Amino acid sequence: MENSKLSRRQFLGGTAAVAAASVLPAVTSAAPAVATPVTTYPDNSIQGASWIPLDPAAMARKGYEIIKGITGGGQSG
Amino acid sequence: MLGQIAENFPSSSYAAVPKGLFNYGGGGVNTWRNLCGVCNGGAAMLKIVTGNGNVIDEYLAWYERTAFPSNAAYEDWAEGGWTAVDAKAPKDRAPMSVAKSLLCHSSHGRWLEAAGGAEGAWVTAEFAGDVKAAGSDRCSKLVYDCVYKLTELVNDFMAGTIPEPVFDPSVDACLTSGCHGGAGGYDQAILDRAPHVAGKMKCDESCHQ
Repeated sequence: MENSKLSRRQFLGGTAAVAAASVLPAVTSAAPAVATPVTTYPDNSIQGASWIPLDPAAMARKGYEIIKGITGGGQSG
Repeated sequence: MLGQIAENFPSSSYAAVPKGLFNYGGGGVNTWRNLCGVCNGGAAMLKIVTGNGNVIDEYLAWYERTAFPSNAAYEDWAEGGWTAVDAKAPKDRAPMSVAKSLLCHSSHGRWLEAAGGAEGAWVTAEFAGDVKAAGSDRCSKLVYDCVYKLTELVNDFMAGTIPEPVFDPSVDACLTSGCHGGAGGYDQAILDRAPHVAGKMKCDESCHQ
């Protein structure tokens, strides 16, 4: 009878093992890490013959409108 | 510009650049009056579009030596094709000044000096002495000028032209005189800590007299 009793240390150890085992499935079933594509700049696909020239005046107007708060969404000065 | 590039090249990575990312630069970084916002955002744009340091150097050196604002924004509006800004239209013939620095503090300060402050003739005539509104007009037209230049630089780069930037003569003089890490000793303790702090900025008439 005495032999079947668990010591306090054995009891706590067993409890910890059960707790760990209950968490393990959640850890092991998590989606495997997927490498996120890294966006690098400059993007060379726009260079060379494919380049579509920008209109300086149109861009300048946009810059003015942004800083004046007429057009939102862009970068400001 | 990044938005236009993203529109022109929808499969490129430029659509991933968040709009407003560089807005922190306004007023010389959150109104610290440090690096002018159009230099800050412009250099960032040049880097991620061209990846070329010469283009950035040419842009910043041009900013440092150019008198702003030109009358281009006003003339563009006055010709009648640009009605989006009617309520906040650029004013005609603002006083011009050369920043001699990339700092907002210096750039705007020199302009205020050139304009005569709140009592200046142009500020009085156009803005009834409201120097803050006058400054807003000046900075907006400066942005017009700078974005125009940025666009030209990008178009030229894409056409195969890489600029040879011309720095202010004081930069060379500083580097070779030993002020900041050239030959000779200005202050050995400074040289030991920061041997090349001179960089490319115009030295005289800005930090040093």
